[in-house]
Amino acid sequence: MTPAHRQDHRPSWPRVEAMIDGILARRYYTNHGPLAQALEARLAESHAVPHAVAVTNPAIALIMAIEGLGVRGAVALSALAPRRCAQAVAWAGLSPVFCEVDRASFALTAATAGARLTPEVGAILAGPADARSELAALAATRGLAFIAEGAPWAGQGVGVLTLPGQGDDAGAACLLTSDDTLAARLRSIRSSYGASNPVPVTRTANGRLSEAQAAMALLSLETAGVAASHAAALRAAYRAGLPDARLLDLRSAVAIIPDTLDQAQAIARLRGANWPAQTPAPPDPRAADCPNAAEFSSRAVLLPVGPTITTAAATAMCKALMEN
Amino acid sequence: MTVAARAVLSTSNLVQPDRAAVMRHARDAYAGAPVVQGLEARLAAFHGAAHCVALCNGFWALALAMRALAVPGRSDVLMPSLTYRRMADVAAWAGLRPRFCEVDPATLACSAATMRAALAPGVGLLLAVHPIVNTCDVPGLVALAQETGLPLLFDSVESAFEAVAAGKVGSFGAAECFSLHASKLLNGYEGGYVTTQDPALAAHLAALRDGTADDGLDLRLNRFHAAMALAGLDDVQAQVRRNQARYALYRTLLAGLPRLRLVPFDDRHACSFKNILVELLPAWPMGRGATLARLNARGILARAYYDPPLHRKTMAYPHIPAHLPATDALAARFMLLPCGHHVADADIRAVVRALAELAA
Repeated sequence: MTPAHRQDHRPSWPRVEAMIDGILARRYYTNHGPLAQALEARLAESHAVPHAVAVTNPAIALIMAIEGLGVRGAVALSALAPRRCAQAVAWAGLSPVFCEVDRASFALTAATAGARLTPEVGAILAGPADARSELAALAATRGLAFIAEGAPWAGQGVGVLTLPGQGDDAGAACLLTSDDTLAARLRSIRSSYGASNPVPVTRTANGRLSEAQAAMALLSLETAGVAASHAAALRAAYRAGLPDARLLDLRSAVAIIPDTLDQAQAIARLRGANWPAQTPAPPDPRAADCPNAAEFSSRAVLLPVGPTITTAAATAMCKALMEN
Repeated sequence: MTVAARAVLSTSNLVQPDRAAVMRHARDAYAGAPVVQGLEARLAAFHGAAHCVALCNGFWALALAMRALAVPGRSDVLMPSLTYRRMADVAAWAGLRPRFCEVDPATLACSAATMRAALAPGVGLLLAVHPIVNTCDVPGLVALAQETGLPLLFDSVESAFEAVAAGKVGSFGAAECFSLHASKLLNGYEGGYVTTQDPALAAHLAALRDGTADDGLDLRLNRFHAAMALAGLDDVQAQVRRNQARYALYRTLLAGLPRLRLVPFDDRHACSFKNILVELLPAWPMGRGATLARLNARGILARAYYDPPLHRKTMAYPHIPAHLPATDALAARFMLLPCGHHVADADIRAVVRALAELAA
């Protein structure tokens, strides 16, 4: 990738420096400080939910969601869910139940999840590409908890949202919920700091977000609209450039299923032109009876939607894939 | 008399390194430099350890290390009850049952003797905790681990600068855990790390921390947190000198209050002089709770030393009930006085004046 292909939606260094100066002046570094409080208010407003609970990283946020919802037994999730989901389930002391995905959309749907629900399952965990509304309805019908991971969610249960601006490290996260009681529980699980209405919880999980993390997230939210528009433009460019390929929006990338190339050929073409294409992770080995998920992993190519890719670059990637 | 209205006085360190150093390291983090790896290398050298693995905070550093070290098939972690109020929660996340032991009243820390007395067949990990002032009996605990064949993990959160005759804290046992919370010696906003001499364990911990191991969890350290901690490391020797001056003033002034005992730092070896711990002697005219309430009302946020102890707390997860009379007695007698970067000599004089008024 040449510099001409790069954009940068990061806040400028002088803005970051000013934020750090503010933290030093206030002497408030963590423990639900003023920036963390401002961030939560901003996120609650922008996602139209009563409660946003900022958490130091997405894995701990997932664990807190499971713990806060009081899930017992097992959690149903897509065989294609990111590894961190099954890991969080296991750290919460529960078992993952991997579900097949839909043959056409490769999403977890009410039909594919419903087929795997056993009496041990206490929650459904949905990703951004899954059929979240119908999965939420299924959870409600079956009396199960519902967790929507990886994208904003203002429905029942809890949304687990990754926050922008933390660089390429572990990131930061936010739990979104409309449930007052659950929000109080989540805040108490996170830490006693920031729990204005402390409630008894089984165990705490130290998920405090620092003021530095809050600062970076707040600065990044200022350009979130630009970043979202840019990602949408890239998705449109991929869709226009690959009219016959199946596309799946994973938010962090666009997955395409080329109709004329196999995965290795597609990757070879893209990497040959120095484009940053990747293949999806294989399904969890415990999801051996999910052929649709296995097909996705063996056929899909992930195309980037981040700020360092221009629409011209997206179009060029499509051309590389369409070459005869 | 009240403390100056500009700020309350707390027991949190809140150390603030030189602004230029803070910004230099933060700029590196912003630019994408490998500041986390740089911090790990410097911390390993600082502690005399071969390896350091940085994590998002001390709580999860402890949980990850417990899970990595506990003998498979054993259910319990043996730990003192007079310690960090969330330590039993940490054990629960690690999938272990906390089993509590007494502490040595002379050190306020577990020892080989107190741990030995609580050993049981289910114990799969020894969690030795350094007290808030000075250290636990490192050689004795290392010998106990060798004798029993059990892995030994140190919670060294409050002893990051300390040393014992055999070397620096951070270089002993199977591993040692530290915190980079703003209240600790090194302020990384938030953060934690594990040191070890064992390359295989370090690699395993890193794989767990990165989420690349099946039973791992992505618990990586934020790059700006690493940058702040690096600035703290640049300043740590100077910080300890400032701490020592505060401690010396406390020692001088508290000598005039015979019903109160300052827990002295053992300066035969390196120590941070950071925390100011006092014991209310039997002749002190009121209970500790009343003492704290009156100090707090004046803006002096002194606090109780590890009270209630863990075995007295309600736990909804599996644990071993314990009867620990020595711990119960100690938990009622000690309190921490304001310390740290923003505590000036005038503040220390105000704190001691307030204590003198209560003692009168």
